[in-house]
Amino acid sequence: MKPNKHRISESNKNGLTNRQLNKARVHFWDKLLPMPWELWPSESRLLLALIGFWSLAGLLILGSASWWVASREMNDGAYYLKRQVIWLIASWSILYLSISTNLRQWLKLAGPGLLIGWLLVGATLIIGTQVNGASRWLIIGSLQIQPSELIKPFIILQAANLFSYWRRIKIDQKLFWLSIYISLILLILKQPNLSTAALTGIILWLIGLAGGVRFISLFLTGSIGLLLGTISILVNDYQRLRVISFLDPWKDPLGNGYQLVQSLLAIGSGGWFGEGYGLSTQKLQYLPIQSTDFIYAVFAEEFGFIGSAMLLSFLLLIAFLGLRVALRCTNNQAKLIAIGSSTILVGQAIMNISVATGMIPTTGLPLPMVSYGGNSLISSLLISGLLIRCSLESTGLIGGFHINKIPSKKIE
Amino acid sequence: MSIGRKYHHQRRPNSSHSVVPIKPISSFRVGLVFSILCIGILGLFGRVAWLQVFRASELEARARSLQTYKTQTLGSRRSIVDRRGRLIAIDEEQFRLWAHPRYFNFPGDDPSQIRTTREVAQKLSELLPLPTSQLLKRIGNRSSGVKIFEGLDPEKASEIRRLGISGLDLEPYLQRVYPQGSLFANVVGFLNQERIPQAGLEQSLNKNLLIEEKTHLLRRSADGTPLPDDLEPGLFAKDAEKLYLTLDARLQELSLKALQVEVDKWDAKKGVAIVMDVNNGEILTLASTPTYDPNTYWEYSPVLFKEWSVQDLFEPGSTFKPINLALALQEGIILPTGRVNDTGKISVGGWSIYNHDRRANGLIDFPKVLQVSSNVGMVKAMSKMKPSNYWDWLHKLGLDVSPETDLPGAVAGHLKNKGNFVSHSIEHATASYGQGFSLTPLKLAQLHALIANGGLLVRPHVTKGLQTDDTTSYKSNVDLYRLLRPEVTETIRSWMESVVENGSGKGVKTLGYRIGGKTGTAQKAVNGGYDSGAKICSFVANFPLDNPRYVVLVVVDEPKGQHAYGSTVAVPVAKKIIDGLLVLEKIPPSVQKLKS
Repeated sequence: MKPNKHRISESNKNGLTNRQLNKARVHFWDKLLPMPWELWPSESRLLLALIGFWSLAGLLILGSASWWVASREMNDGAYYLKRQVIWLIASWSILYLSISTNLRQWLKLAGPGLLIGWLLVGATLIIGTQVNGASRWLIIGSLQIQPSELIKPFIILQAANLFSYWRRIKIDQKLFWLSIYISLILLILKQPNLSTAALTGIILWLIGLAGGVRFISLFLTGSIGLLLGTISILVNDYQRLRVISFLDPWKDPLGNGYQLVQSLLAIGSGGWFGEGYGLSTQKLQYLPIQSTDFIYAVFAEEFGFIGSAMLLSFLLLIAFLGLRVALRCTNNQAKLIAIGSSTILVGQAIMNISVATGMIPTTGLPLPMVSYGGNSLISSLLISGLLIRCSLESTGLIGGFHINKIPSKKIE
Repeated sequence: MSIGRKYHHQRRPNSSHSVVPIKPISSFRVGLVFSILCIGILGLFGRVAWLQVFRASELEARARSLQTYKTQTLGSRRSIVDRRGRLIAIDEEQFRLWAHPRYFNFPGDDPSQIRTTREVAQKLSELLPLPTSQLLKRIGNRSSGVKIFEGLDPEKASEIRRLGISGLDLEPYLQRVYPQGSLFANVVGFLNQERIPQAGLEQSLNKNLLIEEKTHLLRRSADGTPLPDDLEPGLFAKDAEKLYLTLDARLQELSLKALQVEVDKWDAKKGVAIVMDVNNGEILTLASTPTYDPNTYWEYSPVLFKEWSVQDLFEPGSTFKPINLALALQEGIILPTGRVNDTGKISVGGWSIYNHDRRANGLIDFPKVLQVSSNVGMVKAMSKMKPSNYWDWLHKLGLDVSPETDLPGAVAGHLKNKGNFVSHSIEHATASYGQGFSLTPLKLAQLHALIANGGLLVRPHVTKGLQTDDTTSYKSNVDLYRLLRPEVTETIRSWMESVVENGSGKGVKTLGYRIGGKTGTAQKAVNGGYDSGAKICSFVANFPLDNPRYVVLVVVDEPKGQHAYGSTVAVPVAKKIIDGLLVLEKIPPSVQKLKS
């Protein structure tokens, strides 16, 4: 016996009468929604609207960033845009799926999902396709799969499983999953994909931080992680060059510093108000990989500091909504999923912008919902869906956990 | 309290396997994560503000300097075309290919990758007429600024550009090409390797030929496409005006060939053929030999670079006799029907003057004087003219002034000063048969045009002006002024016609056409005396006499041989030119002539 949307009339915390609830369910779209729209908490509504805005705005920015290059290299200016639209439709279906699926269900899938992802990331090292010196891709028919992207939701979900009751989980379980995580990070590093490895590590660390892992352990793991990163950079020529060039891009503006210099020139050209939508000059093949890793530079050139400030404020808003949802969630897993989801979306955006602005070494990390790439879109929107689902379940009207061990007094 | 929580309360007793008490996640910890994100966002905010507000102008300036491109001025010049638009001189765009091996990168490569010279050379060898090994040798181990190839045509250049290889640079430059070879070299001149004009119209009309080019700053994409912002109007407008000449390439070619044949045959030093439109002074032909090929000017002696027919003087001799008779008629000192007694020899001021064949022709009329080219007859005919008046006339004809013409380097003729001319009677006498003063062939042609057109002095010129295919922006002005009465010149023309019909000009007789002419065989003046071996043979014709349109002048310098006369050396050339002209200009036969 569990609560679901058909049983809500039983109690009415939100002060709605039965008649109102019945009336609310009259709309046909309510049948498609996991929960009647009227009952959605404001965070969920706002999040849905913001995610929608984010993906549409992302499409516009991608359109501007990719048109010139697409028309030169693909003889079709809309080449990337069209594919992104198709991926966006697919990704929104995934978002719908993730909103409609019980968090409990997701958490059950987390372990197997993570393990399958682990295997696929391992597979990229053996049968992967190289792009720009890194083998991140598996090609299945006409589909290009990037396991290190698709695994992201499962990293969060399993981390939620792991850290929500960290102190209670048996040591063998802890060791097993930690070793899976560490080996996963190593596998991603081996691709080499320093940025995704770093992001994975940082997300795990932050979820651990939220989940209540002791500060001393966090400090130690953090230090080990940094050491690992440093070693990776020192061992890998390709990464070392990038780090060196990041420190002083102007030293070799036509060689190793080229990408960063072009990105900085684009961002700086934006000034206060930007050149205007579509009017970036740097995107005209001066700025490399302008549709993915450096798409922020195009945005910044076209919309200026005002646009950048709005984008950062937007990210802050998402992070804040993530915090609100996490605080409103009634159980540990949901809290961690919520904070983990918002953190990975915002954190990835922060890292992407940091790369473009030269705050961290140049690494290939997409800007969620904006950069071209289906894998990143699917993963980002699935994570967004999880965040909204957390918010929906925080009402207690749907979903639910067997967390009967918690004395109600402690929750209050 | 939520429904969920209420539900949990109901299940509370089922808590058997709890070992460690569950700690709910603390809001503090969640807040901590949020705070970390906030710090990240705040950091970015600062960084972006630094880049976009404080360093914006510096970064933008750097970006613009990369994005803007200064259009090069290539120093392009107008094309030169003949009167019918046939190309005489044209600028051809060509390219030099430079390599900078340290930037070698193929399209689609990682920007930090550097391709080997061999990889690039292999791709280039498919397009260039050079094997890979040769290219490798040219590039060697140098890392930048290697000139690989010169003289690429625009088509090849765009093929190379399409390869999209970074580290290759195509530098455009212009080359002046003269498609007609040596045909117009004497008039048009040439540019040297540095594109500095060295001779001819290229030099004299340099300012008009240079297309005014401004350097522009224009923004462009990384692949070179110009961007449409901030463009000045007319940036891409091309100045399509050409310099039109009055010369006719076909007639010029025909004339040069005909001239060359006789110059070779008589082993002459040089020769010139001039065809002038008598009504407006347009020169249709100015063929000169020997000449040079402006495309390979360095293979020739610089002596050839000046056009002698406008810069060298000669004593015209008998070809000047019709001019003298015209002056006499104008002044009324002879009558059209008058006669002179040609005794074969005459003494003037202690000097003896003979006919060229030392024969006495007896009492003859003036047409006969011209037909037999009688020196004695001329001296007698002109003797009634007062020396000072005669000198004034020669001066009025412009013998001793620089002619008004657009031909570069044209010089004035040489006439004794008036004092000498008046005080020595021999000067008067020799001038009567065209010796003792000198002029350029061009001047002689102008004076015969005056006879042909009814007494007007025309301005000889070779340029029509700058025009596009349908507009004219500059035109050579045609100013004429009258020196002789039309009746006088008509009389002279009829006398010259008799020279062609019955005299030394028989060689140009053409069935159905009325042509006037006069031959000349003058001794060359060398260091104040006359060199008996060195002659200048000339012939001048004007036609068609019903309505005179053209003067044809042929002058050959120092033909060798006993039988070298105007009639044997110059007339055959003129005959070919006249025949060609009749066909090219579609001149109808004379009705009067056909009837008779």
